Formats: sequence, C-alpha cells, structure tokens
Amino acid sequence: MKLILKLLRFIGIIVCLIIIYNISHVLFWTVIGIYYFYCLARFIYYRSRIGFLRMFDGSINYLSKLAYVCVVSGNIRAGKTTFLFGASHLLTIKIQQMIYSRMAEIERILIDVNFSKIIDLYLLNSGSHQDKVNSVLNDLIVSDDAGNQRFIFDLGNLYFDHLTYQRKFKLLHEYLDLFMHSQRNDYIFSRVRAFNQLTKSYSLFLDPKWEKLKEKNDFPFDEYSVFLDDEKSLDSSNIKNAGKSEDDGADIFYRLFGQLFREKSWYLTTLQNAKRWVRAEREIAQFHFYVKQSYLIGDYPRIKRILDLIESVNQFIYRIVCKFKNVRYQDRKNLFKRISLWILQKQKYLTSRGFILFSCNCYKDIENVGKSIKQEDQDSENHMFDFCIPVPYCWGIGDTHAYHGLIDLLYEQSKLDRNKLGQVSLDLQKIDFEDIITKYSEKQKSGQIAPVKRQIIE
Amino acid sequence: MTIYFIFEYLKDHPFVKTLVIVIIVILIFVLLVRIFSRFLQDLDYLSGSLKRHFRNLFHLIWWLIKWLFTIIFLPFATKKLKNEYEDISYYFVNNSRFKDEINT
Repeated sequence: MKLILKLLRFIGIIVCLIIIYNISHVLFWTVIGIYYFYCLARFIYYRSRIGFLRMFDGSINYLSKLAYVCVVSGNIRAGKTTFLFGASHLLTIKIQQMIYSRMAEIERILIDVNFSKIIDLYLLNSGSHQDKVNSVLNDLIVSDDAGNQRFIFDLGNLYFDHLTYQRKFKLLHEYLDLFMHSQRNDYIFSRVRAFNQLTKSYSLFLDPKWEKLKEKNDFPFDEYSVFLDDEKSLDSSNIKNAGKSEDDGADIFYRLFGQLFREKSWYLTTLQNAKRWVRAEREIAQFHFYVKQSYLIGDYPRIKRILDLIESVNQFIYRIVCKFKNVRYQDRKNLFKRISLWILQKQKYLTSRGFILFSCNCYKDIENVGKSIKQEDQDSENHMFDFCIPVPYCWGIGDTHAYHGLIDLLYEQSKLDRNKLGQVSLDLQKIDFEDIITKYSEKQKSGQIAPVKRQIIE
Repeated sequence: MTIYFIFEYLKDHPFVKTLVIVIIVILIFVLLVRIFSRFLQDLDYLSGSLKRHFRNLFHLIWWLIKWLFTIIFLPFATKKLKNEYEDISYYFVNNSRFKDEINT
C-alpha cells in the first residue's frame, strides 16, 4: 500500500512537470533548479551529519576497547565531568551492543531452542533472577519412560567451538542472564546524580566504601555496568590527613576489576591532578585521559546567526510599535515576544543537535600525564584523540556543580558577610615591605610563623 | 536582469546540453581547488614510480566519475545518503523530556 502511494506520488509529480513544461519552459527549469538546490542542501546536511556521527562511532569503539579502569584529568573547568557523562553514554551503547550481539550468537548456536517460549516462561515466573532461571531450567527437564531425566531442546549435549567445550544448558543460562541485563535501565553507578539518555533513567548510587574489599562492606555491583567516580581525590588522596592511606583493599578492587566483572564493566574517575590519587591505586589505572579543551561543533552556527539577525529585526520593529501603543502593551504577551521565544527555542534546538569535541591527550604511563604530545611522536602509549559526543549526552545530564552545596556550610561557619565588608581604605592597603625581604627561616626563628609540614606520600 | 539572461539562455538550449555545461563548470572548479591544494604533494610524483603515478591517476578518474554520477543523479544520491544517515544516527537520541522536572 505504501509502495503504491509512493508510486502514485511519483507519477503525479511527473504529470505536473509535463504540464508545467507545456505552459512555460522558464517556469519548468525554475522548478527543476529549485528542486536541485533543495536536494543539494539536503545532501550537504546529511554529509556533514554523517561525518560527525562517524567520529562519534569511532569514539565508542576507541573508548570501549582501550581500558577498563580510566582516569580523566585536566584543568579546572576543562570539561572533565562533562566528558565523564558523555563517556558513560558511549559505554552504555557498547554494553547494549555487547549484550545483543552475544544473545544473537547464542541463538545461532542453540538452533533447537524456542527462545520466544523460553522468554515467556522467564517472564511468567516471579522472584529473583536466579529463581526465575532455575524455574525455567527445571521446566525444560523431562522424564522418559525409563524414569531418566533429560533436557529437551537438545540442551543436555555439549557445544564445541573448535577451542573449548561448553554445556548447552549453561549457554541458555547465559542467554537468560543477558536477557535480564538487556531489560535493565541502570547501567550507571555514580556518586553524582546522572541521567542516561539511552535508558531514560537516573544512575544508581555509588559509595566508594563499597570498593574497600577488606572492610567487608556491601557489594551491590553487577556486570555490564559503568562506574563514575567524580573527584576521586576527595576520598582517596595521597596528601596526609586529607584522604586515606590505609590498607583497605580498594587497590584489590581495581586490580581485579577486569576479572571481577569479566571485562564487561568500566570504571571512570576524574582528578585534577592524576598524581594525587594514592599510589597503590593510581598505578593500576590502565589509561589516563587529559582533557585539554572542549568545543561545540555541528550546531549550525550560520543558521543561528541568521536567527539572531531576525531577532534583531524583530526587536527593532517591536521598539517602534511600542512607541505607538500604550504602556501596558509591553507587559502583556504579544506577537513580538512570541516570535522572540520561537527564535530562542530554535537556537536551543540547534544546540541540542550538536556535538562536543573533547580534545584529549591519552597516556598509558601516569608519569607522562599533562605533557604535550607532538604530532610525529604519537604511539599506542601516548597519543592524541578527539572524542566526538552528542550534546544531549554531555550537557544537562548531571549537576557539574554538585559540590556547590558546600558554600552554604561555609556561609554558616563564616562570621563575615559581603555586605559588612568595607571598601579598601589606604590603611588596609598598607604593605609591610620589611616582611617581604625577611627570610622564611628567620621568621620561624623569631616565632612570627609556626613551622608547617605538608607531607606527601608517594 | 541577470536572472532574465540566464532564463533566456536556458530557453534556447536543450536540457542535456545545459546540464553538461553546468557539470563541466563545477568539475573544473573542484578540480582546480583540488590540484592547487595538492600542488606541493604532486611535486613528489617526479620521484615516484610510474605505477604509483598511474594508481593516483586511476583514483582521480574514479573520483571524477563518482562525483559526475552523484551530481547527475543528485536526488537519488541524497536518498541514499539519507538512508545511511538514518542507520548511523540510531544511537543519537534525546530523551531529555523524561528527566525529572526538578533535575538538580
């Protein structure tokens, strides 16, 4: 039906063109020219979008294949937390791809199994995931006339992949595990509340003390997850008395990360200085990303400028109209305000269609973090990479100023208020020149300042 | 006035002839840009082998044919590109409407 409608539309267009051609040749070529111009505009649009989307696809593959424990560092407000949110989406996509590709592979192996029936059986049961799986597997066991129990769907046999033997019912068990993971909407564990655009849900809470395996805490983590630990230096800094340096087993968590989650989870953390993380843990981090800068690209800046121009014309006319109208006209909702809002919304929409380009230096060795890399000196251990991540995956995902709440506590502790401060008088501006030329050791001897030790454990 | 002359010119010429002229003009323009941007690189041809030279020539001819067909069948090329875009943009989603009203 759809094809017939398309065919009819095509014939209609051809007939219209023939009629136009007979009426006026100039009109005909004008219509054809406009159509070609329209096609060219669309062609350029799709080509530019595909270019960005290919970079986005490359970023997914690059990040997921590189490492499982990664550190993101960079200057203040360089875009570390924004990159962290973007990376969580890249890895969510990778997780979904991994789950569905493995499910498809198992479906290809177990050709005797009716998977739709298995899924129905799984969904009909209630209780925990393990109870459901046990119930499904029990339903697949039948007794023959001799009283021997066996699996239906040929699940009792083995599958040989030219390398190892696998039990087919184990594969079915794995399939049900994967199905459970595919139904999840909580792939992200984060200390800061973060939204996930792909699962339409917020992240689960991540408490760093759960990583301290020797303290026998809870362990609510699961496979196919992404752990986001923003500002790691707050709970695991190597500056004495500012963090921790005890033997709590967190390093074991990072050391065995790949094996614990069978290379199906990722751990990302941000630090302003990668060397401030305790040595036992930071050495395990497989890769370090140093965010140099982040740019907004693909957000149609020229169209935005045209909209700005329309807005300025709109404001110009509005000011003239206001002169002839009464005073209340400006207070009410009017046509010009509606146009202004429409333009603003269009500009916001165009921004949301853009991408953010994170210009990163990637290092294998922590000692090199922050050092500049030349174009010709790039290798697998030290190189540059530009992550291209869509704007909706980076902006508005979580609160990048999550620690802003600290300011309220500081206000409570403070006895001074901005309003109580006086302007700088000449007395306050007076500089102690003698103090400037006095040695630090002499000041300590004379008791002007107390000796301060700021020990750093390497 | 200019538009009028263009229309007059188009009226007296058959469609195929006009199309060929337009394509040749576009190709000459693109080729000029391409050649001059790679001028320094092309100097290296002198030290290259004949095989390499022919291979580059083949790629250039292939590039020309590809774009010639793309320009002639632009609506179909656009349709093909749109299909590719729809496939590749599968993971570009914006579900911000599902966020909590008070987000932070």
